[in-house]
Amino acid sequence: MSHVAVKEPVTRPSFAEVAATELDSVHRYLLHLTRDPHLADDLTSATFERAMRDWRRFDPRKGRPGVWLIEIARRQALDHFRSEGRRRRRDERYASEEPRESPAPEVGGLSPDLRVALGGLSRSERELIALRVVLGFDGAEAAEVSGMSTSAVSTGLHRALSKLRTHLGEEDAP
Amino acid sequence: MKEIDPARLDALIDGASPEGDAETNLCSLLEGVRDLEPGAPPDLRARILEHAAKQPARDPRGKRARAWFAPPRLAIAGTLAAAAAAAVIVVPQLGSDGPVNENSTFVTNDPSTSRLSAPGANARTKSAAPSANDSQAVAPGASPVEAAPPIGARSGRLQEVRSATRVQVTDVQALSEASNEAMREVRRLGGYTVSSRYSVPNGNQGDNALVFRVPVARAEAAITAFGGLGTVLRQQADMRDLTPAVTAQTTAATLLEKRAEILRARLVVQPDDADLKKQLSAVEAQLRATTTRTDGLKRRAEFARLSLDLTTDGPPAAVTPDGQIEGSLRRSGARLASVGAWTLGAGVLLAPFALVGGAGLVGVRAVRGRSRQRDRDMI
Repeated sequence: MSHVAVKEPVTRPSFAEVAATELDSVHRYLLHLTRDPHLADDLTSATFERAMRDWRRFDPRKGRPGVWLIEIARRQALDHFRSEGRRRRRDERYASEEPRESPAPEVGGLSPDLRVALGGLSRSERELIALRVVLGFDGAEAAEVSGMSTSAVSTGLHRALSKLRTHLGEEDAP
Repeated sequence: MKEIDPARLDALIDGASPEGDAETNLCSLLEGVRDLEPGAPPDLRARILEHAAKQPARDPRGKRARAWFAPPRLAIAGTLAAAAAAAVIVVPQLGSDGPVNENSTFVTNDPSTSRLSAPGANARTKSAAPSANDSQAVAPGASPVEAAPPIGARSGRLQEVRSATRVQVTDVQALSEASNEAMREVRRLGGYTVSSRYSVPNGNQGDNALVFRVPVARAEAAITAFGGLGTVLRQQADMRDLTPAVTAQTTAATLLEKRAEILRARLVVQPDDADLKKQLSAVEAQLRATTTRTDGLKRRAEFARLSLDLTTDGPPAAVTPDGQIEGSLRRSGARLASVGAWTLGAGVLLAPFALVGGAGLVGVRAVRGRSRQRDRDMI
């Protein structure tokens, strides 16, 4: 019996459908990355604005829309971190007043301890947790977004979760 | 804290069932992390979805989704393809003189005449162009000299080339096939058949005396091809430099033309001078004859005259079924060598493009790697 490979046409969803499906994922990713709900809101808006402009460039054959949106969200966050870093350096150079503490993340919701413990992780570790655990990306997708190898993602995630458990005092558990 | 293998951790994240307390606790932690952030607040959701609904369902330009720039790999592939196309066009032009037999040896006694000869049936060589170290390729009585350039290779010179080749074939069938192959080869080289005298007095024996005209630049290729038709019994090639003769004729024509102009001028003054008219007629006749000779010489320098005698006569031909295989192998080898030379030429032509493309690819990768590293550092 011969098998004939037939390529199924890749259907292209509408942007509104993608936005409705992926909005929460993008917001949760940015919230984990920034630890600042207001900033996450702003970056989510910027992400979807950018995505809408670039929607014609999206090629469904190359990956899921969710991954594409997270990549845009990551670029938006990186741009923000860069500009924030420049602003902070400028402030430190010219301002004489005492450096102010950055606003503490809003703690609340279901598990304040978990939020605090997550806040103790580095941004990179939080990103890996967001990609693999929160958004459910597989190793290859997480590696693609984070610019790491699949094994580095796996190792980094393991390290991040170990730290998280340590912060939560799980080491004392039997 | 009980360590969990990273591979197992991946499996648990991807939905594997936990085993033991440690894994169960870890899964609880993962669930907690998953449920930590509920998602976008309602006002943000409403704002974004309202905005997204304005996006047209189809791309307004109706084009296929693609990046505004071609990925570097595609650009490099395009460059290489263009270079390959250029090579396909250019390289055959470089080799348009046909395959050059580097083994040809010419014995030159006269600066204007060269001769290549493989005399006598006892030579029984299978090659039409004897190798440089083959002493039988040297004309008897001539002292070996350094190898001259191939036939017709002297640029800017007018050369008359003549050759005669006698080739033995096995039987009448082979005679017919060899004749056809010789004519095909000559046509392929841009020449033509002047005459063919095919004679088969009985069913077992026969011969064919062929005369070809082939562009001088490709005469050697034709002679080489003739050698592959069977056993070469005799071969001779003569080359004569016609440039001095053509130059002399051209000079003479110029002088005659001037002479005729002077006579015509004098006839204008003395129109009734019969002696002048007679002189002018004689000069004009000489001029015509000189021009005709010059044209003839030039025509002779354009096409070589190649005689090919195919015969079944002579001692038993060496071409046996093994010989046919040998011949096929030799022809295949020659073709392979030609393809190899072409490939080498194309490689030389393509190498700079490939180097530039490769360097570009490496550079792009390095820049991308550094950019990704910066992003990771930032995160």
